[in-house]
Amino acid sequence: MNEFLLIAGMAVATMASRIPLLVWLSKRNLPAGWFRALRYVPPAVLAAIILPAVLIVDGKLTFAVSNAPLAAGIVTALVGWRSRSLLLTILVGMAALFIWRAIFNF
Amino acid sequence: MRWFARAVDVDIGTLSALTVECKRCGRRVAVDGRLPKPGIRCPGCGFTFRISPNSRRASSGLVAAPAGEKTSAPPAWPSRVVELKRHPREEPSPGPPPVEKRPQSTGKAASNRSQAAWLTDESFVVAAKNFEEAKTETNRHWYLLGSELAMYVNWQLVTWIGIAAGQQIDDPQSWGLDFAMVVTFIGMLLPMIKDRPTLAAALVAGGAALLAHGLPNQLGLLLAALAGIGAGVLAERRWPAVVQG
Repeated sequence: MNEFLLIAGMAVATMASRIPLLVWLSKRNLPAGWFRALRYVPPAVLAAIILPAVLIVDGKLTFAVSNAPLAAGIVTALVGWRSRSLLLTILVGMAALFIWRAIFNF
Repeated sequence: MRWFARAVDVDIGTLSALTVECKRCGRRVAVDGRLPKPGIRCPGCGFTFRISPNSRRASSGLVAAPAGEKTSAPPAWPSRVVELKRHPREEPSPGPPPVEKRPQSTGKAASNRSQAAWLTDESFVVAAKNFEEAKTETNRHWYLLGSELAMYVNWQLVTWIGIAAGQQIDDPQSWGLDFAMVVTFIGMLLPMIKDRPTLAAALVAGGAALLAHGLPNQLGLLLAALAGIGAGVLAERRWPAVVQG
């Protein structure tokens, strides 16, 4: 029962944080300067999620060769940059992670 | 009150040989060379419009076509969208301008509410890319909703498979499947970096996130995003942003 309450609570929290702004903005136009700034939200947020995820291991900045996420992340970035195909990037990235971990065995 | 225009095949830097057609009175105004500072004045209805090159809003009020082209048919080649804004000081005396009727006003608020509920990072990127390439011109909110629902149904389905299959595996955490999210985000981030300001935003946000990763409640992510946005806006002053329409 508690799980359902938790899920319902999170649903309410999600809606409450997303709906008001979306509905409010659908009725008006933002100043052009805002649009310019909002352009940088997706790259900034994605980079802010990705870099700690590949570089921080157990709370520490880690550039070691045994850091499989870092190695896989580099391979992913190269493939994504060259191929421009999201599906191929995901598949190669995960394969790189598994292979790297198999090599360094951890 | 703002007007939007579709400028066809125009380099915003030079903006030469452009005709702006006023949808209200149908008159064409030729713009040559540099844009006039106060804006373009429509001889028909007396409004002054200003072009701001950074907007990527859909066209609705004014239509611009290359000078000399007599047909008002939509162009077949890729076009850029520029914004024509009514100059605030040139308020015309004869009555208020006609209110642009929203083509999809019915049900839009309702669909916005449902969109908010299903919105994921992935749908956002798919929809934003579609809108940017101007593949969907009208009823874009339904495109977004379609993308969201497809992703959501898929998510539910795969979650059920995960619940069933996860119990067959000893330690699913050790597989590192959660890295798929990072891999997906890398694949989504790369096409977004198309000029120096977006690169600056990503680098600064990533660096700030590394510095601030110890902060509680994902505060570091928030600060890093703000730093990245600031970096992008500042970088725009030095390097021009690539604006796609």
